[in-house]
Amino acid sequence: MKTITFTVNGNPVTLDVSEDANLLSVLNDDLELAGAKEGCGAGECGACTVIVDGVAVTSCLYPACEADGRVVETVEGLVLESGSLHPLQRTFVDYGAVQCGFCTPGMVMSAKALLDKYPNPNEQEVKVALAGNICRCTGYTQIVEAVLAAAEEMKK
Amino acid sequence: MAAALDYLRPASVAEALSLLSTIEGAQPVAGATDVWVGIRSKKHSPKALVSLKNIPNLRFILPDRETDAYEGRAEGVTGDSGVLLGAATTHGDVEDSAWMKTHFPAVHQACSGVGSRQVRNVATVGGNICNAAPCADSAVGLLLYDATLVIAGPAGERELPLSEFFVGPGETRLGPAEILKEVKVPNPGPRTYAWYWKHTRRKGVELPLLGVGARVTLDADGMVEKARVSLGVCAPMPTRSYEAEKVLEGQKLTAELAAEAGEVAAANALVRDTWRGRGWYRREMVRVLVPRVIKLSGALS
Amino acid sequence: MTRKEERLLPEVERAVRAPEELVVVGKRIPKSDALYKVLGQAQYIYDMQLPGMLYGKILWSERAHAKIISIDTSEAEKVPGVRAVITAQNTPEIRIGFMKDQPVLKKDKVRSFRDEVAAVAATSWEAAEEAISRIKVVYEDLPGIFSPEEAMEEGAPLIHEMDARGKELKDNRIRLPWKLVCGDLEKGKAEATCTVTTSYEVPAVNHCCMGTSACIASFDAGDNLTIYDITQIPSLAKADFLEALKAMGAKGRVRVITPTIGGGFGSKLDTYGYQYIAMLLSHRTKRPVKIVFTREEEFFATSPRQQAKFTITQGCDKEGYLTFREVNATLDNGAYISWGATTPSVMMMPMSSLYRVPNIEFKSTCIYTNNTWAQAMRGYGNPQATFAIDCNMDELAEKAGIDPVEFRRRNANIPGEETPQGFLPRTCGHRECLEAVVEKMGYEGRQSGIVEGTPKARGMGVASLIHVGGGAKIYRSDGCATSIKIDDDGWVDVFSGSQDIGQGLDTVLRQIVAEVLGFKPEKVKIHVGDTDTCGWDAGCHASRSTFVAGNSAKVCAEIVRAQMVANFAAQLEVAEDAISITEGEVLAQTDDPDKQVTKVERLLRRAHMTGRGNTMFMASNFWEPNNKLLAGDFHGNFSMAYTYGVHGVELEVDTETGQVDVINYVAAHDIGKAINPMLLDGQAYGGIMQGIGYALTEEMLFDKGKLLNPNFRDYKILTCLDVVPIEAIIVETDDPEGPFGAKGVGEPGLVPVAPAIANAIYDAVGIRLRRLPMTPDRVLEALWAKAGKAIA
Repeated sequence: MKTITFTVNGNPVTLDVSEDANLLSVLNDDLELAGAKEGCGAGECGACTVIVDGVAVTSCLYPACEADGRVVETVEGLVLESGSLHPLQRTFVDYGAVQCGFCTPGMVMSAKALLDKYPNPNEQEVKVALAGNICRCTGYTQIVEAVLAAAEEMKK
Repeated sequence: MAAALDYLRPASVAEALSLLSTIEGAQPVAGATDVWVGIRSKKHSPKALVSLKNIPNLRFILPDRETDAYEGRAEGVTGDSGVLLGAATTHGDVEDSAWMKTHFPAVHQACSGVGSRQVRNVATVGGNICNAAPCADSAVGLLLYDATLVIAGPAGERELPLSEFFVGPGETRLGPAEILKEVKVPNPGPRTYAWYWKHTRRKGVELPLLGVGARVTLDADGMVEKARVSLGVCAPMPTRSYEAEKVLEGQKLTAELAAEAGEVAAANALVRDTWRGRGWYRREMVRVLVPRVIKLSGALS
Repeated sequence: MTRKEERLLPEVERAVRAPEELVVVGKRIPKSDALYKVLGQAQYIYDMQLPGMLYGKILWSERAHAKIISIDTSEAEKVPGVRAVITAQNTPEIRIGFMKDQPVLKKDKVRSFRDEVAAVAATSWEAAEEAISRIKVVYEDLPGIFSPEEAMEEGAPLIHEMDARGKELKDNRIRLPWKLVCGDLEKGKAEATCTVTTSYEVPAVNHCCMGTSACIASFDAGDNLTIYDITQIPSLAKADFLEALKAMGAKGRVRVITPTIGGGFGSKLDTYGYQYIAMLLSHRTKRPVKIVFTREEEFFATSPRQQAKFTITQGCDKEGYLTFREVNATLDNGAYISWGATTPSVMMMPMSSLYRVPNIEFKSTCIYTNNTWAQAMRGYGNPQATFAIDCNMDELAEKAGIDPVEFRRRNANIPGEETPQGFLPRTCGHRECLEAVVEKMGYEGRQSGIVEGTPKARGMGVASLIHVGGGAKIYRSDGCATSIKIDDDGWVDVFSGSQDIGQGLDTVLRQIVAEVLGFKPEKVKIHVGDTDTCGWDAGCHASRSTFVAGNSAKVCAEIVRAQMVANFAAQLEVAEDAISITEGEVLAQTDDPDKQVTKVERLLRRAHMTGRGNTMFMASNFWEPNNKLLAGDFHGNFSMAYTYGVHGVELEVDTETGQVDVINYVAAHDIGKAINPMLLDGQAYGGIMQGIGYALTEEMLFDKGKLLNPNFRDYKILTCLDVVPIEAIIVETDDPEGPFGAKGVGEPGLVPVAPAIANAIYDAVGIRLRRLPMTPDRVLEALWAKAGKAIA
């Protein structure tokens, strides 16, 4: 076991983790943050996407020990301080970008990482950023629309 | 229970080397994306992972100072001298570097196509090379520019051309107590055109059916001074097609010459039938795509 | 254009509806649970923990076909944390599948790599995995059979020596008599002036639900089972589980609860061995046991759409009207029987009723093999069958010298005509869909062939679909129960036997009930997926939920509304027909200004809490559609409505690499009435992208029964970068039987995609691809064959 300290959604946490644990299991099991989910366990579906030090990562492939000293954001931390939904969450709801919802937390986090860095993406850039998040239900069209709409809204 | 895994995070190259030489079965990792999948599926059981992620001065694109990857490495090469990549530079760093896109478009293209954005954000160029998959995109891109690897080991640093690094699938000339530290890419000179094309079945998150890189450097008279053709998934390791390069060098570059390079590269490609793709198709794609990639590089216009 | 109209039904009498102003139905209302999903708060079984819960793992067969000589679990039992190790030797036999040809834990023999041999419950996943790895099984290999052709050879080894009743089997053919005869085939052949025979082949494909299969089984002290499950069929699953309880000697009851489900697409239409294994482990340990599949298990141990081969002949007369259709299909059923063996019952629908064709013979054989066994997947047998039909239509059109679109125009289905199989489509927008697609695509002015100066060629293709849109009577009941209660605070609870698997049934029911009651939709909560509180339903399948559960909810809401209106009229001292309720306000036609507009909550409260009232508004309703179970000859109107559609695709074929790029996609669906156009778009986009995967990239690859590509790296599900521009056109024909005119639409989006693409490829480069997926190497191979070039 190793003791790690990192920041999750603005809150510092310290805990003991097994050396072969991934960040996803620490979030799910130790911190009871269930938003990120295991869809494949091999970094190929993106359902476990969270943001580490400002970039989207697949937390199933991220060694928990490596999170030590870093800043982690999950979908649970997305709601604004005012208590209202993040624009991405609102547009995902309003544009029909959610069906079964299993991919949604990861999808939203990939989109947030994109918009944090590039507030004004074009459609292709959105697709590149989300290509690692598989969705079997929606066919992606409404998801891309939702991300572009959120980008518009965030410019206001 | 499986033997416990240790996870170590040295703060310097020296410390990393000392861990690797003292712990038997220790493996260096950076993004750890490939290694982690192997551990999880129990195909792979190293005693310890030695993370290179926290060592300063391993993640940079010199001389590009605009990217997240720039860590203020003091000395280094200048723009005229090519580029120096820290081995822990991520594919995402290269993808985000407008400088790389301008100066080393084929490397930029190759790195931008690896896995998903999430994987590119942690998977490193050094890791992609050391993992030595036959399809390693960034290696196929870097082979075009005669990249040299700077390898640190117990006896100090040594340099090895990338083209001599690979031995077989997953096998390299990296010693058990060595780490890849930097990738040195010389300035390819003026009038250099290069491109990388990843041939895939779907458009996102793919292993290539075939990776094809081509680079030509023209002399002042428009003759091909230097040519490089590199291939992924055409052999047990990323390779150059020396035969195709010979066809191009010293000649006036025309569409016909590019097509001939494709024919020769295809004739010499070590393709085989696997369940992932048929040999005849891969060979045919080498024939078709080599001239296409030369065209995409802009060298013909 | 229409000919022989003798089979026309009498003109349907439509209730003359006042041009009603719909307030909630027809609106783009977000899915009810989307909020919780974007917050990461929706609970899937993946997220659930129960006190004292154990973790279950399964040991899968390491052979495709072998005798089990011995199973040694002694080392597994020694692993710290292990609480139970079960095999067929130490548990009661439970047989599953509708023909009961499969024991949950295999005793004497394994028949595929997904056979369950043993299972473990332990205090952690790691301990369970470790224990599984220590179980030693000795097998004696038997010859494996991996294709229907091998399985049908003389003297081929038997995969099942006897059926569930102990009757000896002589060969590997499954005893299901899939044969449909309509009209007079010989007459149809004699009338034909032009015929074409072709053969088609489709692969096994996986549903790829993002949430992998999972359940938690838990017994209480009274031997009552609560199973948290992801089933699409809560009521039917409950019946299956009850039967298993009997086999286990447990006398209790069964409660099936489904939390949020991470995708369905047909995969959860039957119960699987793992659910029973969780039950057995839980019963043994007296603790809740959770099983969650890894992605690899999800790929190899759930049941895909099956591999199938078709040979089809169609003929037409001089004017281009179809005179007959003759089809033989062979299905690789795999090792055991699940719903995959019944897909021919749905293949019959397009075979008999897609386009007007009077004389038909369709035969299908399902064969046992040592491959994975097949199940339902979006469209059931329809996409497979439509690929054969609509590709052959294109070839026949060409041979007859008629433009493919004109050929379809001539043979398009029409409303009110009984089809040869006995379907009675009251509404049918097939022609409207065709014209809408042709116009939107600019089909008439298209330029097919090589784009000058490039190696690429362009083409357009179309294909059509028919699907059940008004239930499908495959069980003796095709109904759905609904209960509604309205509390005096104005909140409405609707308990529906149906199920939401992400498609939005929760939202559709909310809109229907809110519309009928005149309440705001946010006041209506839909409860599904709890067999203790929700009534019976035949399950979320066959695109039936909007129609059947929707009608059930609508009728139930009408009953409750009538109760309210009677009470409110008395309270307000007006006639009942002077009352209307809209958006939560009760409007009364009266001169008394105080009574003209009243908040509904006020009247509800007064109805309940005054001595005069003491009334609560609630009702239950079981709605059974008036459709018919197919007769022994498979004739009959087994759905109350039929959904139609036409898809058009424009694409580019790279003639040097064989790559196909869809550049434009237009899909028109006659869905009766869009209850929620936004969710409807989602069904179309999602179905079409799955269909493009089926057409171009997806394929489960097996080596002697072993799945080679059980992951998203090698199984090529499409990504965001593969999205094509899709125009989804809604054609509304206002079905007289549907709730507010709606017909079902869950499956259709996927059905005609592959033939539309295959036809467009022909238009572009003149090659007919008759095998899915149409991968670049297969396209190039066909181009070479056309050019007389041999591959090395």
